[in-house]
Amino acid sequence: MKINVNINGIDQTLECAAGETLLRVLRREGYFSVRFGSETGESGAGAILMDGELVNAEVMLAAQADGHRIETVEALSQGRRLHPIQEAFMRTGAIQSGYSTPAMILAAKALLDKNPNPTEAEVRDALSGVLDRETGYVKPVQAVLEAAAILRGEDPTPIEPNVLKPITLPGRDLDEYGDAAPPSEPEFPVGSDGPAVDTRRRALPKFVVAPEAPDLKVVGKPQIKVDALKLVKGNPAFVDDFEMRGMLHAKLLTSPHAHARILDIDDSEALAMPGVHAVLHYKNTPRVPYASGGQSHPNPPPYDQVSFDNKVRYVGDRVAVVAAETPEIATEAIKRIKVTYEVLPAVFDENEALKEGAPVIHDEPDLEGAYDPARNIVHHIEARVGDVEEGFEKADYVFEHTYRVHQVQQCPIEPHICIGYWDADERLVLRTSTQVPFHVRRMVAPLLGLPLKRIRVIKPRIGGGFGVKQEMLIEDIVGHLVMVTGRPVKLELNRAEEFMSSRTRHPQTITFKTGVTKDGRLVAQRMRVIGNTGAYGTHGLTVQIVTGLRGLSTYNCPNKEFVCDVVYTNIPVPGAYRGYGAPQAHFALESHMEEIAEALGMDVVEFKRKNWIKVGDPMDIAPQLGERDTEGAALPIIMTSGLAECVAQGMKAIGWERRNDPNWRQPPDRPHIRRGIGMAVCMHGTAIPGLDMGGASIKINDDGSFNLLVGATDLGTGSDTVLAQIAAEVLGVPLEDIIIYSSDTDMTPFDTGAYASSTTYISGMAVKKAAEELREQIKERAGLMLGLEDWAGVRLEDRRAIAPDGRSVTLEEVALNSLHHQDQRQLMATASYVSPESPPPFAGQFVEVEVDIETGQVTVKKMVMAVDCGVAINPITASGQVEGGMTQALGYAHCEEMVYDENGRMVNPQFGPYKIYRADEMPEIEVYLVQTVEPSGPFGAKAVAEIPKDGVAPALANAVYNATGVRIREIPFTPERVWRALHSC
Amino acid sequence: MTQLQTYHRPTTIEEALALLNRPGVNAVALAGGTNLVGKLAEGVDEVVDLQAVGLNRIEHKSARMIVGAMTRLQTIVDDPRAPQILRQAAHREGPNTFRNMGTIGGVVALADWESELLAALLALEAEVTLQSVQETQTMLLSDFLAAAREALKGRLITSISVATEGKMAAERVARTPADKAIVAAVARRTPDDRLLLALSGVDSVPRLVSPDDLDALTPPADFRGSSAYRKTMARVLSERVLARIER
Repeated sequence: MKINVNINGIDQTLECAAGETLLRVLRREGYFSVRFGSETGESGAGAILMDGELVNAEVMLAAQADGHRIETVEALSQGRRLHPIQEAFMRTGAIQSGYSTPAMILAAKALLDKNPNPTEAEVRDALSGVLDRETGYVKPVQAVLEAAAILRGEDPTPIEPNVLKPITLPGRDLDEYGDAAPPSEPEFPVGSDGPAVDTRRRALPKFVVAPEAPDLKVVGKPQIKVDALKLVKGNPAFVDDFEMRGMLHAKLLTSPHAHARILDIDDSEALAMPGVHAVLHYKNTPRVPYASGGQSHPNPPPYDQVSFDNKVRYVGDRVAVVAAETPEIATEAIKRIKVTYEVLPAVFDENEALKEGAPVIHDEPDLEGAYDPARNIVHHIEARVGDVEEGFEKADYVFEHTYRVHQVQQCPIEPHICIGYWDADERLVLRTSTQVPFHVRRMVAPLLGLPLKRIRVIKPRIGGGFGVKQEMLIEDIVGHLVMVTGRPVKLELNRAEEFMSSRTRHPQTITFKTGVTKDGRLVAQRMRVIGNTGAYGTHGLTVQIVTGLRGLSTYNCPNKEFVCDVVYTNIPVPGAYRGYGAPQAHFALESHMEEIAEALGMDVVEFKRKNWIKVGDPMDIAPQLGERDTEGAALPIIMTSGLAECVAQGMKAIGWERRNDPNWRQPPDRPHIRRGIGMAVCMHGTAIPGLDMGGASIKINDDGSFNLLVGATDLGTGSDTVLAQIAAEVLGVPLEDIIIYSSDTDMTPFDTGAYASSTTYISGMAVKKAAEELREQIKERAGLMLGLEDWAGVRLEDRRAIAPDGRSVTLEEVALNSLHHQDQRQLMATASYVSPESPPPFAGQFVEVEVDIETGQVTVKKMVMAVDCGVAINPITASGQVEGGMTQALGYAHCEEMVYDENGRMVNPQFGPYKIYRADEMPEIEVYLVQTVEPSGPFGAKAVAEIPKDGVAPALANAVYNATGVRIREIPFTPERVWRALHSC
Repeated sequence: MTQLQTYHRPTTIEEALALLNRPGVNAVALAGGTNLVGKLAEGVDEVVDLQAVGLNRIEHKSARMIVGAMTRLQTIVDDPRAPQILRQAAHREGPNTFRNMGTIGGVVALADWESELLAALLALEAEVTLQSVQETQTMLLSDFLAAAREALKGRLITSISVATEGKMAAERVARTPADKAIVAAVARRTPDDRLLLALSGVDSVPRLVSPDDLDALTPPADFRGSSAYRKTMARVLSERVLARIER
């Protein structure tokens, strides 16, 4: 059928099918800013304006738009001039991956066209239809308020960190607070008048500056993200924004059973359908065992997957795939594949799976590297320091508690997607949404039977990952289909498949047993973990190792023991999820520590402070719980910690003393409400020592600009920006002179990828080293040009190479000289970096709640996190990481859960039933960056990406305890669970 | 996404009814589409889009408000003359992207057991006007919901009329502030002093309940609330709303 629509001011007649969504038609017409996030529309990534109203093109037929006026972000900017809303999104750091940024900008436009002076609540309402998994909405809300002010003709809010005085005494080991008076100057610049302005300022990060921090030009500054322009304009940048003639559409057939043998597959009817080009399954695909986790060579065992197996192990497991001319044909063909299953008994709970007589999930003869598959045990991990039994003997008291953490999904708004094709040289190109392009290339090669050199993996912009894309998940399928059909092939998971057939967070049962002295010193601590790795091992070993490392490193204790079994079950597969075992450990540890303090009658903060690890203390269990065996090496020592200051700042920000005020905890006018405040101490790692490696190469161009090529994988975090800032700082140029490109296995140096909080620290150091090497070459060339005997004293500043005597040449002159005029050579350098250390970032997490004791409903009022991430290379992107991470962590603690029926089928694979926080229901969020200067990091940096995931669940549990006196040892804190705990039923 | 063959956009109700009632054709009515398009069922051959039939007016008449079935939820949210409780409940049906397309007729036709808007409409003594080829008929929303899908056979919802006066209160329990309520209670004391109590999430459809009959409820369960929990919440929330509308 034909429809007449006005798109961005131009009348058009478009051809479409009756059943096509507007999203699909707009994308076909080249409006790539309108993006897929969920087939039922809740993500809002496909939002557009129709007749000036924000509506969702994902859940609208194109035919419904016939006769209407449509606006997309493509038309918002005039040539190179951006709309003020776009500028505000860039300036305030409201963009992370940028996948849903166009939708948010349109939401803002619809609001501001009608209401030039909105309140924060109105802004939040306007953004409520666009789910954001990245920013916690803090900066997008600020961007809209900022844009409103600009459009009203007001001055832009200065984007500067808000510097606070430290509370604890500097230079001491911070065992106790100093008596430094709280800062007397107002925290906000004077002149705030009204809530709108206040909100605009609140989103800026608050800073406690280390006096020894270097004063730099580009590093440490809130620079605008290098990729912001293309994202704010909705330019084609993501995997799916790429078209190829003759591209086929792939669709997965997944298992309806939690555990079954496939006795037969009959694909004849599907293959006979016109438009179907291939049907792949166990009968026609090579069987090559592999481990799918995107990790360094050699991939950790077990090798327990094959591209298509004759056994399925969870509802959602791969059975077959179809490639066809259209998605509709592929979907229809899937239904015509006849599969004969022998359904087997299934087990879902990790404790049940260990029992005698439990169904055996992996009985295939070619399984490699599983510890005891007949008992469903994939890995058995033990680590110990001292002798815990002896320690328990010596202790005055021994406490033991068991905690349970559940399964959640990463929910990047862009699901997994991969487009594969043969290039002109008949090499296989995989354009894929991955965090680990180099691992993918290495891992997919043997499955396809192609030499690695015939594969190129390109990671364009990606719409969030959070660990779920640290996996070789669908690339093998696309590769097989390209090889069989000879055609370009696209496979994109829909939202339900993203939930059920990708990766998730590991559920665990965690038991802590701790011996303490009367005065509150830890003497022995045992952590017993049963980790549920679902149907396949993938990240099972390393996630559980991190659980042990994080569970037993935050507090000093002479005797420690970690005992862990990682077990197979028939749930969808847990893998890597931001935090990687640490959120689980922190929930148990920080709840357990508070239970002990309570029993001892000690102040919880005092008790924790007495025991927490301090500068100079060794991380004694770390060598046994590293991913690379470093046993026998020197113990890693804490070099920097701002933990005491983080806790002090957080206590002040949340109003900690209120938790002891009965009138506050039980408001007289609301009899069924109890209020509480809880805290958690957080400690994380920065990269995997001795394993994570990053490479960078950098060259000068004729105009004195630089191409920086990195294998590091920006998934929206801003790592491209941070790495470019590091290069700019070293080379004495503004950020705009660095053209960064990541990542492409043909073009960029190797990098392990974006995971383990490693990019700033590892890849950043590689960039710094490469830039420093190039700086030496530039200095030498400048010395030659200036006729200097000794060029060592030349410095690079303001795009010039300046001699000690004040004479200088511009970098452009240096480039022209070296490329065209004299002793020609390309000034360029390549460097790489591996760190022997993993300096921990620290944080204090605080949560304020209201509990309705009659309904069990928990309402989170405020979250404060104060983080020591060393020197933040970019305080805007760093605080954005904290805000977004905390919001994901809030979902983990409060409302997100994967729920199954008795047959193991997920009942809520849809946003809404699977509840992600919206803009209009967020608690207040405050972020403090407490600076330390980490000697091993680039310009003093440590990691920031994962630590925000660690503290919300225990702080929430502790807040609920403070409010109600009831201890709940299981998450999430949904109403009925809390109600049952309060009413003991 | 779907095997849908034909899209119609009639300009009159009569035309729409004729399209929907052709024997042998599986045609469904399309209001905003926010629910339908994402879940277009197998075997739906044709949709009949009601956007042009002109059912999007709101009329205020003495103590009642007549809302055209194709009125967008956001239009109700924005109507200063609509009862506060109705505006709030319409707001809770979804985020703005959904409210800007979703319609009140669509919400009534879907009859979602957890819809707070339906509970509010019940407390406001909503009447549903339906039109078939033969006749126009008005029934109480409570009767309409009890009749389930039968009431819609061969008919279209053209308007919903609600009372606008009285003392009203609403309470809910949900996982998060903007989440769909697990159980919601809406109470209203009419100007002539009758008491209406409506609940969502406690039966197969939202329903009016006499405060004396709360113990007789046997709510269905889902993962957000067991039957026992929903039953207890029905009592807790009912007591709260009833207390708030005390004379």
